[in-house]
Amino acid sequence: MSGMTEPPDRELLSACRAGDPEAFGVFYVRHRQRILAYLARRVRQPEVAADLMAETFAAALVATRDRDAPVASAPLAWLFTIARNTLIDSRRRGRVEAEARKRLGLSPLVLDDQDLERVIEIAEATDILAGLPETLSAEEWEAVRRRVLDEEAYADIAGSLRCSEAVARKRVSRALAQLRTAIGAVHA
Amino acid sequence: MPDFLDRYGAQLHAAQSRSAALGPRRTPRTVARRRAALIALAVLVLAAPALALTRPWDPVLGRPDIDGGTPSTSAAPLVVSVRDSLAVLRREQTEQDRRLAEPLLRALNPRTEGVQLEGVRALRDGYALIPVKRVEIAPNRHIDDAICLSDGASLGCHPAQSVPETGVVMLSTTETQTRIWGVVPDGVARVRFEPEGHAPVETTVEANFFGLSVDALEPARRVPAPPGYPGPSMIPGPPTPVSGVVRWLDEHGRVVGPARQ
Repeated sequence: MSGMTEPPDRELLSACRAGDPEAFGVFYVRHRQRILAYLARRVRQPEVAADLMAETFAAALVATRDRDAPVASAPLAWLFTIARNTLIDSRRRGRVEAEARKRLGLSPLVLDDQDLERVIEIAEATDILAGLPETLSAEEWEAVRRRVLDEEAYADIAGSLRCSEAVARKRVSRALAQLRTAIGAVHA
Repeated sequence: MPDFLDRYGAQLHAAQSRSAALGPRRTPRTVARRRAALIALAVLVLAAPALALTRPWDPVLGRPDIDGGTPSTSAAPLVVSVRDSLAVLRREQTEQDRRLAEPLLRALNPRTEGVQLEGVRALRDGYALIPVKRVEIAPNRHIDDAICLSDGASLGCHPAQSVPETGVVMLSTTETQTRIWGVVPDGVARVRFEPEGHAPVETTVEANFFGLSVDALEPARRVPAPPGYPGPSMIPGPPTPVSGVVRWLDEHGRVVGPARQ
């Protein structure tokens, strides 16, 4: 399938809500490696990363099927937000949540050594950022990437972007506001 | 054989097919959830003043994924002398304190023990005060009852007992500047920094916090290059903060401290 004929993420989520049984699968295949890589780089435990990825997509499916919630206008950013929230919740509670998977009646993931190696491979090889910054200027994206994904201090961001700390803060804040607008309501 | 990603994809597909068979409709659970949310909101509005003081707070401390552990917490009261000298610690903790300080608590590490969450305050967006019961500052050296400051990237801890006399001063650098920030006791209205060989700079104190920058650094020291480095054996070290003296001024501009640098 060429890039021109692939349905956009938002169409996939709308189709999923309308009852298309294949749509969410396409969305999942398109983004699973990126989400897994993002989580694996954060937790550094392949089995935990896989578990978090599973809960992230389950939560996304639950949210997509919820007719009361709007379909995310920027689905990839929305998916990253779910992944990040799932990660934060798991750190707070000391275990990976499984609420969404329970609601969907999904079984726990069982991983063998080969699977664990695959997680590590994906974490090393995947560009997790591809496609996310479409709604931002290059400068805003650079600032928000460094702050949110790389967790750099504002002083360091300002140093490398050759701007003041206040300007770096403004760029991050403006970019996050734009992403929030694009993301819309997150139900995860 | 499909890998775990494909196996999980098949599970999701099956779940979606089951759910698609029911059709997209608002489920009773959704209605119930919405009703519960409205009730919860009403309770929150009515009880907001009380909740602000009693709602549990369980932030992520440190970087458990990297450090392999997380600092413990403590409900012990703050050292009386430090509480008496810092108004920021005598006011109630607010939701804003929690929201602004939460990301900065990631700078903690397992060498800090007994984080006194009730004493955490946001000093300004990007800076937090964190009292801890014990912190290891070097192998076999620790401080009991410390006041730590974090800007998210760095963490500095000083003995709580000395705060009324010395405050807590943090020094850091950018590529061209020395940054000085910290907390000073009640009654200090301005802080002046007199860098060696440069003009003094001054700033006002707000809620015990001050922060200023000066366009000066010490000449870069040369340090041994890492093993295997193909260039010279000595390379320029990291930027070093410029030396200088800190003065505390009261509202009339009189020097009132610190008792020692």
